Amino acid sequence: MKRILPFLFSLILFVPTLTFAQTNPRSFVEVFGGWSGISGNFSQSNYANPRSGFARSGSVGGIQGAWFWGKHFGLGLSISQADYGVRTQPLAEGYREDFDVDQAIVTSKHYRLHSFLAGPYYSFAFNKFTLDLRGLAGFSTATLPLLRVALEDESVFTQNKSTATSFAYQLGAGVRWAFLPHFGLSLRADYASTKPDFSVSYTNINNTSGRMISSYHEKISGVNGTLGLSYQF
Amino acid sequence: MTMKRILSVLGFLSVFFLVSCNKEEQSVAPTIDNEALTTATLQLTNKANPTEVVTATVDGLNGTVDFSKDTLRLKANASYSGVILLLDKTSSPVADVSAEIKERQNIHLFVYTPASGLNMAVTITDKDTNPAPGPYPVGLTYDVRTGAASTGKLHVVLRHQPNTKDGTATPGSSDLDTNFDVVIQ
Repeated sequence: MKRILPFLFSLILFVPTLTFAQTNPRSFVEVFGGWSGISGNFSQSNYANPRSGFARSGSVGGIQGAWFWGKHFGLGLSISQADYGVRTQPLAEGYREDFDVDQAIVTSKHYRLHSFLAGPYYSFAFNKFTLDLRGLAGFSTATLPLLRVALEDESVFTQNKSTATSFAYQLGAGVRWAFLPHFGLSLRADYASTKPDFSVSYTNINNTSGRMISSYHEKISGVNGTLGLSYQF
Repeated sequence: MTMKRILSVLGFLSVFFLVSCNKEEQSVAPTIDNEALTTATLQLTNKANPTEVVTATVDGLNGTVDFSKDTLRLKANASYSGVILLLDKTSSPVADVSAEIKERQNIHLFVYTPASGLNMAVTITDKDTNPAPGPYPVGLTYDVRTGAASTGKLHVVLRHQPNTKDGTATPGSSDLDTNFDVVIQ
């Protein structure tokens, strides 16, 4: 959030310079994709801390659009998927130490986050450029991936896959450039946040020696920087 | 280009992204050396006379084994409470391996097996903190009950059972495997 506020502030300062030649913003449908940076406990990798999520920054993409009426207001919709890798190395080292084995192998798929958000746009159109300010809210369905731990080829246990749905929101700003009458490119930055409450279970865990959690309820939040290709009408 | 065609392209690109393959990551914690275990000592206290403490030690377990102090001399028809003390004399200061086993009691099990003809019974008295169907015995502390006069070997094994401990000696590998001479008189 700290990183996006200066960006939003500078955009708002920039807005009055556009007002002398404003037109009505055009509605659009857009495919977008880009980088998703995460912060907080979800991105921490401290094996001893049960709040650590071991997630690394990843990617986000999806489809979004907005329908405008009048000079500024619009209503937008966004369907997206974010993907975050798992830092398996600190987990492998922690399990190796806890089980006092020569070798531990940890295998994991990625965190997945599917978001369905809607909300208002407030936009300023200036010739081929449109500045979009938006606040969207809705829900996200997050997936905690299955984690497989192999101890010295003697024993394998898994932390099972889990899904959770929770309230989600995002605030952001972006610029659209219409390079053709109906086509545009966009550059956007959004702060996005959700806090899923995962129930965590294990299979074939016989001895309580390694890291074990029964739930995971931490904020998944950060800044998304995306590029988009839009059809404007 | 019609609106329908454009929307089809946009739709295809979004579906492609949304169902893209879910990558898998794997890490291997590098192999490390096992902790050294050089010395095992059995220390038994006569329950009827707590000032009577009997010890036996096997040394040099990481190389040339020294059995010169390995004999337990016990009274017949007596009850003892015992502990096992493990040391790593290769480190400085000397490491208390028993304390490390206590920390990792949920994945370790001592197995005490008297030779046939040796009139003694060993009962482990401590338990780990494993969940049901545990807890399971550990073996850092134990009771010994002797019978009639006899001699023989007491086989002592420390089983390392990472996530496989089930209260039996079968799973895992051995961190310690040695014998003590026992004389019951």
